[in-house]
Amino acid sequence: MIIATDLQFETLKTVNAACRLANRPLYGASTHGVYGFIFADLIDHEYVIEREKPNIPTQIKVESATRSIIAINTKKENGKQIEIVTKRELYSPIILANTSPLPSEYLTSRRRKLQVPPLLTCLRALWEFQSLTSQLLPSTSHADLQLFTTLATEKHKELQLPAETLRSDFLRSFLQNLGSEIAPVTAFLGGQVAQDAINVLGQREQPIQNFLLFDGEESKGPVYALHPIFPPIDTSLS
Amino acid sequence: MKHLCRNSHRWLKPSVLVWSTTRRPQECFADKEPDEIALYDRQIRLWGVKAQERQVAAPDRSSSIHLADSPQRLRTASVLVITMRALANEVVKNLVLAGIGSVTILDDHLVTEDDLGSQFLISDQHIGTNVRKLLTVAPKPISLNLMIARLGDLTTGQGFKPRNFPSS
Repeated sequence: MIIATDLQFETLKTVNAACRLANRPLYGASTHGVYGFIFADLIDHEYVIEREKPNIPTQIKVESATRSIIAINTKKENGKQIEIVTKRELYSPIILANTSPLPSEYLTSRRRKLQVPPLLTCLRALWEFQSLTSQLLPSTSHADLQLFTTLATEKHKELQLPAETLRSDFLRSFLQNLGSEIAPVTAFLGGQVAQDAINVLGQREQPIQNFLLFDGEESKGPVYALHPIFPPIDTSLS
Repeated sequence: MKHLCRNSHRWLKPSVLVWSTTRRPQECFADKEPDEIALYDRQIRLWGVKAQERQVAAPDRSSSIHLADSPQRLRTASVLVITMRALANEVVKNLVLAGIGSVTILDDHLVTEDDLGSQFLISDQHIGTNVRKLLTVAPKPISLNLMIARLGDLTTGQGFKPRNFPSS
């Protein structure tokens, strides 16, 4: 397993490609002051969860675009029926995840769209900025700030998020936080990455699918599954 | 190793340092005082160091993933951590505390004073040295997990026998 921290986007893309070639899971994470993210690319991951047997019997089926249930077993423990469900999650590399839209359940609900932190937009804008100007971070020059703001607005529209969530004070805060490290944030994210890594290695519990955004100001850490939309395979044609 | 301490140009060759669980649990806890053992109590329970093994329930072979194997899988796993900064310090700390098989650290940067404020695995005597060199001497990871020892430096091949490298 590879855990790549604080890498530039271009480097992360290359590392991701190398990991896929070697068929190794990858976690990419970074902190910028009070903000941070964790990206997971576990390629094709099977894991097991243990839970009490629910009233509605669990079936072997495809749960979402990425997750499917493969096997179900039951055992009796302490007089309760525990079921052991084996699930499978499919992942996308970061080069695809970066241009992917939000999952459909977010796009159809305006309330959910309002809750998506602008951090996602800012991160994408930052990566675009790095590849355009080959500078590590935007400097305080007017031109840089203007470029960054334009990129951010563009990415925000691309994600189909309402314009009012991309506030100028957030942009300012994000830019001010770039390049710095704050202990509680790194502690939290470091713990999350390690926890997920340990779970993945032990093949237990649901791993992060696939992008965790951490906003230290709001103390929120939502997870979004950013995957490209593939047209459904038409099996009737042969 | 003197050339590694130059600050004037970045030493571009990546430094790869490997920390691995090499010591067997019995030998590192055998000579410890009772209060030291109490300090590592949680780890001992986690890794099943005690002489009498827990009664492991018959594994459920109908599923292809066996739940009982999880700690064993962790002990044989190897993780590569790229770029050693505050976040990586935390990640390495947590992995080492959980009893991971081996951690390989890849970072070619020289330690600066700023790093002292964010990384706890280094101290001020290490300013100006290559990250890998200081981790060579740092006792910190060992204090977290008695079973690990520094295997060596992959770049120079110092103290490192390639055949030991886990293939997982």
